Amino acid sequence: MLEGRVSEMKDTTETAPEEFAEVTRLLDSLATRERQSMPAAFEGRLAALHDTRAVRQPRGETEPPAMRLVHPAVGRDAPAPSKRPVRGSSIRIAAAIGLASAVLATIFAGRVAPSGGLGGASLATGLGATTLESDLELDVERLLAVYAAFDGDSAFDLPMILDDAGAFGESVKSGTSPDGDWMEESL
Amino acid sequence: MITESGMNGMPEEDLPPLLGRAAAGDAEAWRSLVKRYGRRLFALAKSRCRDPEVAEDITQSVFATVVSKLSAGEYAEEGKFESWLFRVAMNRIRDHIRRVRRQPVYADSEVVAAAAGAGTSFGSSEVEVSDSSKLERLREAVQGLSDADREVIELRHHGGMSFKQMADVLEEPLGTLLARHHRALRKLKEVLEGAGPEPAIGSGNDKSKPARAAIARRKGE
Repeated sequence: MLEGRVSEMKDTTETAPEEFAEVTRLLDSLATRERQSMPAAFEGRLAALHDTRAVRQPRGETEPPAMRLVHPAVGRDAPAPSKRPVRGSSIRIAAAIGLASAVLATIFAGRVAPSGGLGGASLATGLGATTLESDLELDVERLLAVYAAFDGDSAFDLPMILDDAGAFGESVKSGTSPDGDWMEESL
Repeated sequence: MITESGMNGMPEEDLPPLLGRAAAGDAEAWRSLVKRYGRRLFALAKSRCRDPEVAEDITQSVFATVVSKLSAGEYAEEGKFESWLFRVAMNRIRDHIRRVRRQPVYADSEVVAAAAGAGTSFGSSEVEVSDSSKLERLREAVQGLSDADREVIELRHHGGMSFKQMADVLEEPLGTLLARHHRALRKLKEVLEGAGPEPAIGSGNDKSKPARAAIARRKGE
């Protein structure tokens, strides 16, 4: 329910002429109606923008208190988005797909380059597990950053993508070869 | 003018300390900001874009910007938070409207019916119309205003802004905005009293324009 009230005009120049009293009253009623039409759940989502992204500065910090971006799932700092918030779920979906593809393409390129085949063991001997691991971590960090920025958008499911990428990375590191179907589905 | 201030009769906390607490991570302060400005921004965006989902997108985008700027320490409060907030909102709204205008608009039966209902009620002095139908007529009339007039009306009434704040947001002289507001009120009054032209005719941005043209053709038959 709208909890507004009719306030006093802020200065004398803002006083509407008497002849427009009825129109002004109707305009205010219309505005009230529009405000009331905002879903309560949406207001909750706006409040959650802060709740999911900010934490209090730990006590004892000498720096001025500031909000830090945090990934809600892992509870650690995520890099702040370098660009202003993106509008439109289509752009968000494109960003998510692009980053997920980058992760999988990195993995795939790493697997085929050293030996020319898809053998699981070739990765460790060719590129070296450490290189791949750091690449994976970098890309996962980027995914986490995007997820943190667009948390709450139901248009895509980044946790699922992360799980898949994580499982694949683990299988590569352990030298087991995931089957071709898995690769095809992921790509 | 209606504002969201003074909710529940409680005195409203000064903005600078509230912003400071929100920037420091105080969830309660953030909720207060949302309570204070959320519905005003939503109403402005909804009235301008005529789409509740778009209004939600824009409102959320504006608040995401606020979180980002506050958290990064990129916003310095100098007594113009509201002006800055609504300028961000207006930029998003204008972006959306520009995108929509590039796309062709087709009249559907619902729009035709709504426009027809509004059109036939103009000038009807014998029928006692309820506030609700008056509001619908007023809504149509507001949509029929020029962009400049409409912005002033919507910022003033839906956004609950003072003229000084509007001058900051629109970067126009105060006197110009007062004159524009006066002119817009007169047009709306004329439409409501049935003395003026049907509001959407002559509007450059009205989606129901094709519908009204169809109605006009039908009346001429």
